[in-house]
Amino acid sequence: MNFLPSFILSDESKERFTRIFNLTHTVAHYGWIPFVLYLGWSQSSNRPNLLNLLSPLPSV
Amino acid sequence: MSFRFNESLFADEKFNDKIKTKLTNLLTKSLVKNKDLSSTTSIDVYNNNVAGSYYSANNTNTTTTKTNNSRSPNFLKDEIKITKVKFPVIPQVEILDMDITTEPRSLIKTIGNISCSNAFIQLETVIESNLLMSTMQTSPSFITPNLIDNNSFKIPITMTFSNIQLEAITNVFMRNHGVSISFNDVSLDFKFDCSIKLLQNTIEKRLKDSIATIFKEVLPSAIFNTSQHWFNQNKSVRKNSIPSTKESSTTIKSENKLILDENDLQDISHENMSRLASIISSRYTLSLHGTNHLTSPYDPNNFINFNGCLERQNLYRFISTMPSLQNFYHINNSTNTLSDKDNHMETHKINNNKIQCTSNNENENYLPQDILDSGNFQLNDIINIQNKLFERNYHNSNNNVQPKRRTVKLKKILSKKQTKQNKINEHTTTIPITPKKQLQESVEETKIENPVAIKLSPRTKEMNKFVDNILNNPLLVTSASNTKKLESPIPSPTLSKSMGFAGLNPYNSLWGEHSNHACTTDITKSHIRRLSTPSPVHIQTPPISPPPYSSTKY
Amino acid sequence: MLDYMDYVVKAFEKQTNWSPDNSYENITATSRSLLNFSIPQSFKFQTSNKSTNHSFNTLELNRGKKINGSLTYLYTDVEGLDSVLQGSNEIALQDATETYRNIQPSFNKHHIPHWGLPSQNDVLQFPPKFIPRSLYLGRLYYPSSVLEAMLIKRLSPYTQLTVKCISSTVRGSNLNYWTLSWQRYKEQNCHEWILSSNDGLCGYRFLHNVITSPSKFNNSLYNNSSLAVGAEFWLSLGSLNPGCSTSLRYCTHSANTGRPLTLTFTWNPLFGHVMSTYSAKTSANSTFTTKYDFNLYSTESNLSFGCEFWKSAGSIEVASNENVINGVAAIPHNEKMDQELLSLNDISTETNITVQDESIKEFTDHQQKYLYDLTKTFESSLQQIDKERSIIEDFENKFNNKQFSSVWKFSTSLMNKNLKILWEGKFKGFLLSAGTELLFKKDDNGIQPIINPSSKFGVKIQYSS
Repeated sequence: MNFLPSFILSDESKERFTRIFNLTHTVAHYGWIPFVLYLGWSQSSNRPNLLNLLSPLPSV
Repeated sequence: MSFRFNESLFADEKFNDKIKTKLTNLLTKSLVKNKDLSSTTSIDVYNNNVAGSYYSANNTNTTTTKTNNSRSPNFLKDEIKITKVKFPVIPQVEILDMDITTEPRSLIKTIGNISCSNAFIQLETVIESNLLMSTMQTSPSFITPNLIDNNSFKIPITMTFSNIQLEAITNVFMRNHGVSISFNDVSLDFKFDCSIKLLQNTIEKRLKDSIATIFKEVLPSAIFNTSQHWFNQNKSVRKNSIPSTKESSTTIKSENKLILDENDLQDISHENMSRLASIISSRYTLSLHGTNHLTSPYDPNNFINFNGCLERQNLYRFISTMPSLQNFYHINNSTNTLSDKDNHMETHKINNNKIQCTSNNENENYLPQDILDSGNFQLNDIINIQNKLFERNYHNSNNNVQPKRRTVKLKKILSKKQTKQNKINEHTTTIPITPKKQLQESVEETKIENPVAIKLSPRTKEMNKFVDNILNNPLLVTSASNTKKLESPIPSPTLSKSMGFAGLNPYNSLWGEHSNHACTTDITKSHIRRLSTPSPVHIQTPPISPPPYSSTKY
Repeated sequence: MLDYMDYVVKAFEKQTNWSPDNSYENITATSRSLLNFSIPQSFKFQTSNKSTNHSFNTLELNRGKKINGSLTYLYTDVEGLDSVLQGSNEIALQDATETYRNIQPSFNKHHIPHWGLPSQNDVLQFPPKFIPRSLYLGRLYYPSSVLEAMLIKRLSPYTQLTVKCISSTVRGSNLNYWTLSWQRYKEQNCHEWILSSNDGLCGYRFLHNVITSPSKFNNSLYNNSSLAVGAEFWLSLGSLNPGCSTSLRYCTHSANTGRPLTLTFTWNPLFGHVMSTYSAKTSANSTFTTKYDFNLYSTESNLSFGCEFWKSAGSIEVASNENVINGVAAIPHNEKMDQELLSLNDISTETNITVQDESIKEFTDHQQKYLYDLTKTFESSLQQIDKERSIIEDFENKFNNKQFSSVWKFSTSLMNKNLKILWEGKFKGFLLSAGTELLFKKDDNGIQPIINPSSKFGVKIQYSS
């Protein structure tokens, strides 16, 4: 937020913005792989169980 | 403490070479360290496209430092070589003020003025001009696009600093464990020339901007660290090598020498010496024995605990000329049996590493053995010396310091007058007082009734002779001094007189430094013989002055 | 050796008919894969799995100073990957590793890329409706818990968008970057715009495939050569560092032997760096390449050599050519027309004009006679064309269909005085690669090879099902 001139946003809103941004970043960081897994799960015709999807080992 | 730069040393080419190699090594070492650090974390990893290990290796850095550190482009591709160093004008150091304190901690404070003009340094290195490549090498490979033919392009660069003028006022604090130095009012001016004209202005501007930080932070910490390192490493006499500094053009060559020998005086800068002399003389005092509130540096008990610190100049000579019994008789007696070497040793013992001059001083004020043997002493001289010593010690004192005297009490056998025992010496013996006539006869025969351990002296004769001399000396009656303590009976004053020399245990001088015990038997005898002096005379004994530097037990 | 995820991404590109050879980034791909191959660091183990036709995952373990690893998940909605992707047991070694890229020219100026269809030979049919396809990839590292995310989206028949991201939630870590890449291939040009948050890097590059009439280039009638010209411009906005280069690539086949060869020439005007490479496939089992670098300003030069030796195990099986990913770039040419020519050729042997193909029946008699005259005139040339083409194609097929068990790669550079050795092979269903780098240092005893202390020796084992 340092690049934003101080007169555009007040300190409080800047801080709020920063907090929201960090929260979004964390959510995206931890939620991306589950999102990819969800896509794979929803698109397949037979919904395989979670273990099959998650396990990197060769499926039986 | 005075020094000046050795002119011939600066003019010598070898000095320049030495500086060159030292600076080169120092700069290269720090560069190599940085290179190693960065290479293990990022560069080689990217070249081999293994992102995983980048993240794991970088993890050790990310928790504490920002990854900006690994991102800074490493554009120095080769070692920094110093090609030329010149000091046409010798740097000068002026000491403006000096303050030596010992009391809370040993500390020397100095304010000085460093000036250096017209110095010259030239360095060569190789820099990387393809900065895009170096930033890409330090970035994660996953997000970095591949560029075609983006290889490193190295350019050699030569930087010349000429006409370097430095003026700075320094505060130097020298402690037991290190030297801390701070620079104020720094003015550093130089002409900068660079082989790459494009970079000349930027480099010059950045250097001049960072001068303030260098002198405020970088140099003091560097000097402090090196001095700490040296002081801790080697506590005995050693010579310091040239400390290498980063970019300043002055090098300070300091030599720690303990004893100011004759040949040291050549390197003394006369200016500094005269200033030092004036500073020191302003605090001059002849007090040899510092009291606690004086905090005089000349008090050996409070002396500066510097390892290798220079003592007050020629103090040993002063001490050697100061009269004490030993010196007096050695000076007078040229045919003494003690060798000159030993004498020298003892007098110079003050100048050893342990500045505490308490060693061997218990014997300072004793009559040399051979003198006693030969009987070449004069009681008058001895008395004078002891008086003077006592007066020196205590003329300033407010509290009435009693001359420490050794008292010998005679135990009362017939006389009803009981005497209180003054235990001045823990080995004070009490001798029974016998009536005159009886004593005269009996004592000659009787043995000691005193249970105190007595060391029989083989030198009875000398002792007798000595005591005879003492007691017959009319000069024993001297200055008035407090004789409150002298509640001892009649015989004791005389004996005390004779015995009560400053710290003097005549028996010790008779026997040398061995025995602390007085042989009382024979004293008793001889003493008692003299007891027939008619009237108890309140004889004022000469004030007993303790030996100057000894911690006596009396 | 390609990682499984890279292999899947390549399959995705092939299925969506996006040719990576059209990107300027890969203009020197052949020489790069032969000279600058990556040697595994320490010990790495990868196991991959295809959970469904659309989901794939990989587990990777590294044994460097500490054990670290990563877990990757991929999802794509493109169809037909299962027919293309093969496990480590069945995969051809030519697909699993980066090797010589044989680039086929495109004679069709209005070539429209296909997408998502299993067979792509039918150009003349009306292009079906475009379905945008995408690929999602996420990789999480242990122990640093850094996330690598990638999204590839085919926005239109001509454009592709790639978003790559690195994110780290460790406090104080600055490892948060993203890179956008937008590519557009229209007609003969491929334009790319790249934007990265890492130091504000912006770049633009383009590649132009030169399509001319065949006879201009060489003597052979069947001309299978291609020429590509491209350039790139970079600027990092954060620290204002520029980057620029321009290159030329010419791929052809040697006239008599039909062996493919590639020549590239690159010039970096900012630093005066000139690089030229020559790569040739000398036999079905070996490839050689040389690279010469020269700096115009500092007159430094460097000569590098690289070679590859393929070892085959067992008998040669003729496998289908269609599923080869790393093989011939699938730019279809007009096979129908070829077929017609061939059939007309056959006609000349017989006295009667027999109708072989249905389409010919539509021609009038006059047109048929005209065609007959043409074929008669150019009969020898057509035969020559045919012969040359068959030589070239046979050679390619020979390489593509052979079952290789291992490959040795060597690369040396005269200025750096090093030798990189890499062995890649298939062994009992595992894909193995091992390599090291030797540095030659001049001692008093002579030239002594020592192992590079920073990279030492590494082994990588991969398994996929």
